[in-house]
Amino acid sequence: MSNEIELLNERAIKKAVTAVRQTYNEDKMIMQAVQALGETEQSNNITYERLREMYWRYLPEALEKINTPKQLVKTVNNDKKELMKEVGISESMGYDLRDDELIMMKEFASGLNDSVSSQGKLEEFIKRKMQAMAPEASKIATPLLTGRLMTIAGGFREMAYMPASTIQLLGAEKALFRHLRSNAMPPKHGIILQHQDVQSAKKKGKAARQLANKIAIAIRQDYFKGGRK
Amino acid sequence: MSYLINIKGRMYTRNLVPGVSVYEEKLVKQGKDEYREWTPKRSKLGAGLKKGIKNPINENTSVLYLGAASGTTVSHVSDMAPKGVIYAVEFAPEPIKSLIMLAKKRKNIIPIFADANHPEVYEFASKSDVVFQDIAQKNQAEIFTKNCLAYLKKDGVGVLAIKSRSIDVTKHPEVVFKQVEKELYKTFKILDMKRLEPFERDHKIYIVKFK
Repeated sequence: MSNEIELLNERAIKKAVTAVRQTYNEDKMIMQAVQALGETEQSNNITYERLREMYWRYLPEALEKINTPKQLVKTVNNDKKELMKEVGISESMGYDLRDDELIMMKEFASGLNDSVSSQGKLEEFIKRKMQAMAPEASKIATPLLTGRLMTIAGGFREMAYMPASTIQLLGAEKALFRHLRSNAMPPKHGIILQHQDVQSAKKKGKAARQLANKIAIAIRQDYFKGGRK
Repeated sequence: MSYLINIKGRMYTRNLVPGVSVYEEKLVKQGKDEYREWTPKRSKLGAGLKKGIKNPINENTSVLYLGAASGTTVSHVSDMAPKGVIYAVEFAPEPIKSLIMLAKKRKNIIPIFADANHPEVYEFASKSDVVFQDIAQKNQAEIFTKNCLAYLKKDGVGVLAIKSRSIDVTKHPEVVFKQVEKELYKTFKILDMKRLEPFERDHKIYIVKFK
């Protein structure tokens, strides 16, 4: 290898490192948090279902009124006899589990407990950051949904440059391309459907279109304030 | 000695940095030398070679590589051109970080963080024997032509991997390819072209030279 190229290699690396570092944007870690939130939600739901299945073997009667992870974790850590009194039974259909089996279940529950807290923290982070970065869009679409839309759009700038019709369909790419390729019906909404106003509307397509219009205006207002381009 | 070999239907390149696997690909010994497996499924150039295009890279080749991404294919090009140089252009800030780490270990790679749409601003590139391009952009052919005019030597070889779906998903791939060929013919003569099935769907690779 010639010395010249080796020198060029070092200079290019230096330059690239500096240039790459300067591409930091506020939206980057928000987008990571949005992805993490989605994955955490999914994994927590699966873990919750599994823990329910486990506890079902132990004290099924106590599960009737439980429908959140926090409640379930609390129950798992409670005393069996007391719980039986609470639900008004003297004999349970559940098995008398061995000590090490109970410990396993409680440790599994403690993992779920931590993960649920972490899910809450992610949500808080996204809400706080989105409200600060895009207050107008957050007002219209809620901070969390704005964050989700921005993540699919690929960034704050990318979303600000998007036409409303694209925002309307973010998250419906599969259906959109199916429509473009074949003669399938076009989708009316993507994840914008998560918005309460669209959920409760009778004509969801119409609501989605109108809401997307407003979000598009709001996100541009947020992005371009202060003369950014 | 050959830098690219075939063993039992699998491709390998001679490892420029023995003992180091770049993306968890297999390392094998052949006599005294170590080789890295090159899977055509992960690399459009690899797929093209597998489909029978002539390898444009030898040990002294200089290559302008557009769309280097995290450097998977670049690492094999770097293996094949130990006395050459690869100007590796990439514009996405996350993947280029792997490329930079790769360039620290492989001195023949010159990482360039720039938009391939603007060849006039590359700081470190110079006229090359080969221009290779693998980027999923709508104006792939235009970008390729621009870069070749700026950096490809008169008798150099251009290699272009086209993904028809990023030009127009709604059109039939062959229609898109025809369109691309029409554009290429303005500047180049096409020496060879191959569809990349079964390794990549709706992709085609072109080998061109200036008219």
